[in-house]
Amino acid sequence: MAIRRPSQIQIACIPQILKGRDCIGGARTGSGKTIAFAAPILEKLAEDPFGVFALVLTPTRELALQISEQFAALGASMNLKQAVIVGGMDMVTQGLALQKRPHVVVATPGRLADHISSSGEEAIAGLRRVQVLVLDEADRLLTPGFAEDLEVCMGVMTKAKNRQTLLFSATVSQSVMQLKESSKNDIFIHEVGSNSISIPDTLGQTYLFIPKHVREAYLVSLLTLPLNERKSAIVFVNRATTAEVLKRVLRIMDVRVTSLHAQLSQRERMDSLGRFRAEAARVLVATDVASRGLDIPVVQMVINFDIPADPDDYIHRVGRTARAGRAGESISFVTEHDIVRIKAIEERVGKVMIKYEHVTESMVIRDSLQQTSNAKREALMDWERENSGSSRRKRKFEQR
Amino acid sequence: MSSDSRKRDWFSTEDNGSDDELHNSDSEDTVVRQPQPLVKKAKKSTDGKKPTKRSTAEDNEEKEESRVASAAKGRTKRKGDSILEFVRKDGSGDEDDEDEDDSEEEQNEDDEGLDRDGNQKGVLRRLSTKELEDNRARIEKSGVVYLSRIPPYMKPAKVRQILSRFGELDRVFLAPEDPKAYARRVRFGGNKKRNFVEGWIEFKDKKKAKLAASTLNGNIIGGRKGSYYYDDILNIKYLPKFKWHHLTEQIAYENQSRQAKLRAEISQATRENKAFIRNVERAKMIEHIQEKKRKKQTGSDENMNSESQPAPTAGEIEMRRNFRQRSIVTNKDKEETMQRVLKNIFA
Repeated sequence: MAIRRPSQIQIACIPQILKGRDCIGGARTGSGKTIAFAAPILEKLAEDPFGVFALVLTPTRELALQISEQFAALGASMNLKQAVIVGGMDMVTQGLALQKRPHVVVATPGRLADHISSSGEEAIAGLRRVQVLVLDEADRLLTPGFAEDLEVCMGVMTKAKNRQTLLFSATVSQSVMQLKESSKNDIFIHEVGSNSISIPDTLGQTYLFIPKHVREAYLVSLLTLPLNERKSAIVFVNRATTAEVLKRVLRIMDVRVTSLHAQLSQRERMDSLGRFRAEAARVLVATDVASRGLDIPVVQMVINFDIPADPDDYIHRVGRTARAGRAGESISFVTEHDIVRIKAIEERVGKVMIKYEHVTESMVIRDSLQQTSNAKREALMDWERENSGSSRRKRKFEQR
Repeated sequence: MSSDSRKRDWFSTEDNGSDDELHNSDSEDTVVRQPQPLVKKAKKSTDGKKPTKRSTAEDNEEKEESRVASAAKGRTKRKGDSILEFVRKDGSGDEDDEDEDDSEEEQNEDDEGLDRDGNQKGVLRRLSTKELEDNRARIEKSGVVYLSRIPPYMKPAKVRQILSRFGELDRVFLAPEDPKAYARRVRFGGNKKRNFVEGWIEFKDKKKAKLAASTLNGNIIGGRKGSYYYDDILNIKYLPKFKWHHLTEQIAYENQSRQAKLRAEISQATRENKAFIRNVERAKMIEHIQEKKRKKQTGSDENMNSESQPAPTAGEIEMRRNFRQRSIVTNKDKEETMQRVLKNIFA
């Protein structure tokens, strides 16, 4: 890891965090927020290493794993011990890891709450003395979906006045900002300008206005364009089912593809992300599970197959490309039903998208329309058959 | 290739590959679920020489199809592919390599396709009445027994050896275990041998089948005291009124209906695509007309100095239809727990 020059958020936040102030940090995607909190945490930890010093909470498992990798890289020289507590992995080993009092715990709220309620005092004793709490992607964590688990986690931790709390996100929502007013502490807020520039300048945003039922054909044309043939891309969809179907369709169409969504087991999720990182797969079809925080430098293209309902999600999705000053492009498939959404997004990012010119109707009709629709029907039927597992005999096999 | 004379009596999933070619949507899974025996026969004529491999999957399919057709309708059949000549020969009984076995099978299948009487491949011949009668009688006489459990790692050859004590066997099918279970076992350091879960065995004479079932059911396999399977108990049942073709019927039907469904789906997709293409063409036409109109107008407008309109903006385009728009959802944190959490974040 070679960091020659700190980014803006790192210049601003690191000294303040070292001073012990609470902090809300907002900066555009791919601008080095993780290091902005990891570096000062390690610095302070080095003064007096003990039990669980810092707890980092993230909304997704993959992000937790990625953050722990970065901690490992930064803390290699100081013999940093850390634990990753995420769902989908063995709970007993995690409990044992917690008992060993690692310096840093990176966790998703659900699994951590599970440990707190079931793993016994021995495992969670360390958490009672946490000095630094980091909420990465804070605006996502501070939504009703995570509320219950967060409450459990907060319940065992040190009181807010005795610990340092750091909130980071590319999109800091109003409700998070309002926290400043309600608190007695002196909170340091770093925000790069207004909302409008949460998107890097190096990102080209384009759209394709097409009917809903030919999106697959356009996607295939787009991905197999000579221009894009070698580019690594993430295709974002709104539902796990769409992701699965799309993966199958693209696979039939001979695109090296993998998928990441919540319906996969954790092993499969890690495998497919690993394949994509290692460029064994060129295209990743993902739901919003992959929309936040994941740092994969090779991604050159983000395709929004479905338009997200929340403009903030759009910002995070397209933030998977054009990271750390690199170039990148995003292409959004706008169907007849998405016009209101796309207007809201344009308003949110403060930029008007331009039309993507390289794929034309005649090209799609000539090259991919019929093949893709056939592939889709075939994929659907295959999937249906696999899912149904109609025969009793199959179950019998699995039992043995 | 020492195994030319071996019997070819069982089928692994790969073996059914030729059948799958017909339906490319067919996965191994189905094949595992449903036994789909191919009919094989041994030919003495090829025993001596090495069979040359020149098969294609289609070849096998064709044969398969034609044979099925002929068996069912009894109208036409291929010369070299006589169903009346199922000759099962017991081989040496010590097959080790399944894959080798499979390939062996394929090769022999190819040779079947070749003419025996110098007739050309693909030429069908009408079955004579006598042949038809014989065929029917043969099926009528045959009986199938079912093994609900195969002793661990027992191979079809061994099963055949055990059962052929009672009478001549025809086809044997053992269902291989679930590939996932196999992978799991291997991953955790288990036995790498192929396991089978259940099986069907066809006797040429159903009396023998009944005898075998009643004798062996619930009894140990026995034999030499030291043999591996000495103490294993067989669970074997004669299946009354059950013929071998009942096993294959279901899967054939499923495949057929799946194909039909896929065809219907694809034709539907084609219709949709055609509509799309039509619309695209129409849009182009309309655009063209409007372009022309505009040019005309601007030409005439130059004289009268009215407002020239370079291109219709979004507002001016005539609205034909309103689509239901999907709603925008933003994170609104209004819940009580949420409030409590938020309170606890900072002091």
